Amino acid sequence: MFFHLGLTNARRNLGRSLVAVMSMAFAALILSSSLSLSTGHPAGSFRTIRMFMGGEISVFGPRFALSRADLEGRGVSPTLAYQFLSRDARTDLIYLEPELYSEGYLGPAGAGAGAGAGVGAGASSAAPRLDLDALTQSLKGIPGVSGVHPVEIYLATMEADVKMPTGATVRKTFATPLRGRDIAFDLRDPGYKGFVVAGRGLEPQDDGALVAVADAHRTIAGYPDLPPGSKVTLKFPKVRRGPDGAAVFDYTNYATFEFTVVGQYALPTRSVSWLAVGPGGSEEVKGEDLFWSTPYLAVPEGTLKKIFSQLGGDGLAFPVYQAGISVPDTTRLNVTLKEVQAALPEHTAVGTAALLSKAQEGALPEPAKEVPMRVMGDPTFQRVTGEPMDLGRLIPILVYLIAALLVAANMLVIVARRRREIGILKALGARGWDVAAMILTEVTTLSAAGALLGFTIVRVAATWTMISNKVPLGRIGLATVADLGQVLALTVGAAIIFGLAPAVAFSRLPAMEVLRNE
Amino acid sequence: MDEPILRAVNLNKAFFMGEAIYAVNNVSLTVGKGEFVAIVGPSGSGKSTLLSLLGGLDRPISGDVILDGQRYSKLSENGLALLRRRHLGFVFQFFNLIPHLSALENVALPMRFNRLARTAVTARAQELLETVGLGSRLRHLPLQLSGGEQQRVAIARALANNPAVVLADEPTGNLDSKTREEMASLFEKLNREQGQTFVVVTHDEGLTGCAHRVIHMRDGQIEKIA
Ligand SMILES: Nc1ncnc2c1ncn2[C@@H]1O[C@H](COP(=O)(O)OP(=O)(O)O)[C@@H](O)[C@H]1O
Ligand SMILES: [Mg+2]
Repeated sequence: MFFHLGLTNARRNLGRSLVAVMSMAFAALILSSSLSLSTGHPAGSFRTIRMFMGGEISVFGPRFALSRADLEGRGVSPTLAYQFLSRDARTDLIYLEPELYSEGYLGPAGAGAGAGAGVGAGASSAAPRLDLDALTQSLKGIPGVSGVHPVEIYLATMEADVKMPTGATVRKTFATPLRGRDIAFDLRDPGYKGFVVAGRGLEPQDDGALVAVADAHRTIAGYPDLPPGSKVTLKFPKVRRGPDGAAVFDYTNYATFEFTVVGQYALPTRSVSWLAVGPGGSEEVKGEDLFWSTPYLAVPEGTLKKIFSQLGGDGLAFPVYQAGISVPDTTRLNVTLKEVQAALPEHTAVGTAALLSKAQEGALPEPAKEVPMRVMGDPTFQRVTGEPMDLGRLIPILVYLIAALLVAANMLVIVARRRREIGILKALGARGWDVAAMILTEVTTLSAAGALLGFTIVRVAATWTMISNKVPLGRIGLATVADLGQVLALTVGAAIIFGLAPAVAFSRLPAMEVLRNE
Repeated sequence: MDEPILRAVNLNKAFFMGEAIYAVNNVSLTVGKGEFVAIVGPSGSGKSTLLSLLGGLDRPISGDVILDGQRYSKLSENGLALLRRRHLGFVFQFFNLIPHLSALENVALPMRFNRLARTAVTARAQELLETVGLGSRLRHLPLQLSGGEQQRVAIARALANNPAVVLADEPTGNLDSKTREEMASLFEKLNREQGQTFVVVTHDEGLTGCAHRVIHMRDGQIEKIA
C-alpha cells in the first residue's frame, strides 16, 4: 500500500519535483560517465603512445604469451621452453610484456632458424601471424571498435660501439625493429601532436625513402643514440617463401641499407618530483618528465614494404603479428576490451594502459611507481615529494561523492517540504516504516526517472556514432541495455543508501505536526 | 449516559519553555458511545493539546486515555498508529487533505491502510462522499474544491474506517457562516442517524448547539461541563 502510495506520489509530483529529477539526471550523467572513467581511462591519457601503438587495444597472435600453466597442460616441460629472444621481436610484446623475458613463455613460432629450434615442436608449429581480414570480420559488430590496423614491424639489427665499465670500447649488435608508419593516418591522429621532439617527423613525400625517426630517449635503455642527421646502417634478414606459402624471415642471410635519421620522437609516460639537498644543505624540489624508451625506428610504411619485396618478399604478404584496434570512446575501453577478447578467443588483446603499466612495473628502465634509480642514487636525493598519483582513480571517487550528495540533497528537498503530509499520514495511522517505505519508493522512482533522463541525454550521441559506424542494431541494443542497467543500479542504489537516513528521520516526525498549523 | 467509549484519566501535559507550562492540567473526562461532546474555551486554554492526547497523537506526561478498553500507555508508537488507523477519525481546521490525491483517493486512503480490497474501498469512498454531499466531485483535487467541500472530504475520510470516535479541532474555524451552518447540520445528522461519537473543539455556536455536553476549558483545566 505505502509502496503504491509512493509510486502515486512520484507520478503526481513529477512536475513539482522537476528540479529533483533534473539533478538526479545530472547525477546519472556524472555516474554514467564516471562509470566509464573507472573502467576505462580518460580519453587524453597515453594519447601519443596509443597513436604509436596503432590503437587503444593491441591484439597479438594466438601463440604469444603462453603461460607456464599452458605449457604444462600441453605436456611441454617448462624447462624445455626457450627464452624469448629479442631478435624474435616482431611485436611490442617483447618490450611491453616483461614476463616474456622469462622462461615459460613461447615466442612466435617459425621465427627463423636458430633460437626457435629448441621449442617443443608440438607447441609452436604454427606461426602467430594475424589474418587481418578474418580479424576485421570477427570484430565487426563490436560497438566500441572503429578500425583495425596492422602493426608492421621488420626486425633489423645495427652495430654500434659501446663503452664498457672497464673503459674499453666494444662493438655490439642491437636489435632494431623498424615500425612502418602510415604517415597520412598518423598526421590525422590527435596523439601525433608533440610526438616529434627534435628534427622533423615523417612526411608524406618520405614514403619509400630510407629515412627514420628514432626515440629521443633510447639511450635510457642502453641503445646507442641516434640524433637527427645521423646515418645508421641496418642489416635486414632476407625473405623466403615458407612451406605454407607465407613469408619467412631468413636470419642467416642479410642485406644492408643505410638510413638517415631525420628526427626524434618521444613517448611521455608521467612525471616525478623529489626533494634534493643543494650545496650548503639547502633543500630544493626537483622534477622530471619520464618517457617510455624504445629501440624502434619509425619509418614510412612504403619503405618497409619496398625493402621487403626487394629482399625476396615480392608477391608475398608482409607478415603481421600484431594489430592495433581503434576505440574512439576510450571511456568504455575495458568493456570494449572484453568484447574484443571474447570475439578473438585464440588471440591476446591488451589495452595500452595495462600494457604500459605492466611494462613499467617490470621491464622498462623507468619504473612507474618509483623515482628512477639514477635519481635515487644521486647523493643529493632526499625523498620523493609528490607521489605520482593515479588521477584516473581519484576522479570517479569524487564524482560518485558529488552524485551521492546530489541524491541526499534531493531526498531532503523532496521530503522537507512535505512535513505536513507526513504528519497527516501519521495521524491517519501510518507507522514509521510505512512512511519510510513510501518515501523510499518515491525517491527510488524519481531517481530512476532522472537516471533514465540523464542516460538518454548521454546516450543519444553515442548511439548515433555506433549507428554511423554500421554496428548491428542488436549489438547497440545489448550494449545500451547493459549500460543502462549499470547506471540505474548505481543511481537507484545511491538514492536508497543516501535516502535511507532522511527517510528514517522523517518517518519519526510526530503526528502532532498536523495540528501545529496556525 | 450510554456505555463509555473514551476515557481520559488525570491527564497532564506540560511544555517546557524555560519553565513548565501545563497545557493540560489534570483533566479527567468520559465520553459515552454515540455522544456529541463539544470543547470550548479561550485560545491557549489547552483544547488542541487535549484533543491530540485523546487521539493518541501525543503522549501525556502522566495520566492515561482508554479507548474501548485499550490503554494508550500500554501501546507502542506503532500500536498507537494502528489504533488511530482502525478506531479514530480526525477532522482538522485546515482540512489537511493530501494535495495531489483526488477527493476519492483521500477518502480511500485510511481504508487502503487497512488493506481492504480496492473495489470495496472505492465503493465505500464513493458512498461516503455521497453521504457528505460530494457525489459529483469524486475526481477533484483538493485545490479544485471550496473550503467547505474540502472539509466535507475530510469528514468523509474521518468516517472511512467506521471509527469509534471522530475527533475534530475547530472544523468550521476556516469556513464562512453559511458553510458553517451546513457543516453543523452534517455533524448533527451523522451523530443522529449513524450514532457517530464526536469530540469537537469549537467556538461555533452552531456546533455547540448540536452537542449533548459542552466542556469549558480554561488554563488547561475543565472549568465546567454544561
Ligand atoms: N508544541 C508546543 N510547544 C510549546 N508550547 C505549546 C505547544 N503546543 C501548545 N503549546 C502551549 O500550550 C498551551 C495550549 O495550547 P493549545 O492546546 O494549542 O490551546 P488551544 O487549542 O486551546 O488554543 C498554549 O499556551 C500553547 O502555547
Ligand atoms: Mg487550538
